[in-house]
Amino acid sequence: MMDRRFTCRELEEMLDDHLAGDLSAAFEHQVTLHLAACPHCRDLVETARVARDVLAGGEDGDFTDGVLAATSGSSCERAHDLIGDLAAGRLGTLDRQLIRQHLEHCRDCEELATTWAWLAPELREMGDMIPDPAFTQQVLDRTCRARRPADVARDLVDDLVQRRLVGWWERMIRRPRFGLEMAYAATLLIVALCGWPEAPLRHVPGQALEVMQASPSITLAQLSVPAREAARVTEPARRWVWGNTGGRLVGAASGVSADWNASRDRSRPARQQAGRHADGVGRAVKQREWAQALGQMDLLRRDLGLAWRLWLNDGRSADSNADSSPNPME
Amino acid sequence: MDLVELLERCRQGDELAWEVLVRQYQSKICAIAYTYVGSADEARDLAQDIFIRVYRRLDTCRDADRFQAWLVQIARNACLDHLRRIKARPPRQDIPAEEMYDLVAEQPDPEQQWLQGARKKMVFKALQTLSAINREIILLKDMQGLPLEEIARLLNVPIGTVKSRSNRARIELARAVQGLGGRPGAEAVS
Repeated sequence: MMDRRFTCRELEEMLDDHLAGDLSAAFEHQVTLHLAACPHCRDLVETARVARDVLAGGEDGDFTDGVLAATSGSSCERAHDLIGDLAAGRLGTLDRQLIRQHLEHCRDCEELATTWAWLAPELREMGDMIPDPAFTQQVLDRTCRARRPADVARDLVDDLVQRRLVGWWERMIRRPRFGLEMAYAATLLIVALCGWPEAPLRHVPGQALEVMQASPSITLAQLSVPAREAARVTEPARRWVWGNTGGRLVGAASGVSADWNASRDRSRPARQQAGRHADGVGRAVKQREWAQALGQMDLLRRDLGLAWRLWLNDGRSADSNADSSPNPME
Repeated sequence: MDLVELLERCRQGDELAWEVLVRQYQSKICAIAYTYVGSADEARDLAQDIFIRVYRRLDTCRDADRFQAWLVQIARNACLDHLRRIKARPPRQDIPAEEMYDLVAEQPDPEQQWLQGARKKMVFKALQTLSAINREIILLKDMQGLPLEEIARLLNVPIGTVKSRSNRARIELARAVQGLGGRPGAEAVS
């Protein structure tokens, strides 16, 4: 027997003993000779040796883990991908079975799955955070109830015009002295515009009278340049006036014009003095000399009062007592 | 209530419709804001700003089916803008999270109501330990329930990336919770 080489079948029967080292020296020698000549048995012995090592590995000798470690690797990562869907009930039948079998043997994944099973509904609840009761009203106040800049501006203008300006005007016109003060203001305005040498519209009254006095027979060339256009525009009206009044209005206008010229000449010194004091008021205000400005305004007031008296009066002295004359400016 | 009609009314300026919309989504917006900023007061102000943005841009959302995703996108952008702004500020002397949870108010404020229960406190603490992207994915997918396609569009990444990150984020969060004592069978941290 020691001279006969082992057959493959005999080697298979002795394989376990060979791997365990339990064969005698003579049998080990025969096995060695056989393996040297038989590649099939060499592979068989090698595979058996690996399997034996696998079975021997791991603390608890888990065969599956050992096989996985030697082949595809751990399946935990795949299990992690399915844990979430397992808790949500979204796995198909096969996947559900596969992962459950894995969880039966993998403590770590089983704990993760259990943790996620209660974590998922907690997270869903945390997806809603009820704010305090005032929150909604504040959002509405800052959105649909918020006033746009255009609305704010319009309300401001309405408030300014309607309530304040109109209210002020209504209060003003109800005052007893309103008419007097308006006449005073209108007079000042007319004097400021027409009644002093430097006034911007100082020529207008004269031109107006000139136009009214002009009969249709007067040619435009006899009028001043500014009056020509006005005369051209008003010619139909003037023709009607001339035709219906027979020149009476002309006479009246001429009389008014003569009186106007006389009043103007009589009051000229006082008006010029008023103009100088008006300039003084302007300079004092510009220099912020308030006391001087008030003084100039007082002088201006007296000049205007004098001018008015002279305008009305055709003979009284300019030094007459101011209190004795009705002066609407005082 | 039909969301299509509700949105159309809001666009037409119906104040009642807008109020209903605000009430319907205010809890979600507040939760999103709080998850990003971690402070109840800041989250409240931020949530109001988010609604103002939504109100001004209602005309840009014409698909009612995507309204929630559109809303979450606006909320996310507002939160990120807010975080960028405060990043430049010097750090405040914040109350630590543990002490904040233990503060007792005369009346339970929204934050306390939201974090009622030891579990929720533990979950919130665990969330803060995650990376920003993982926390965001947990917020969008597991807290707000957005589909993967919308999350991918929001974050501008492929759907596959969102899915794999979502799985990793869940495991990371579960491990963080376990690390805080939230193991199965163990008493939750009080």
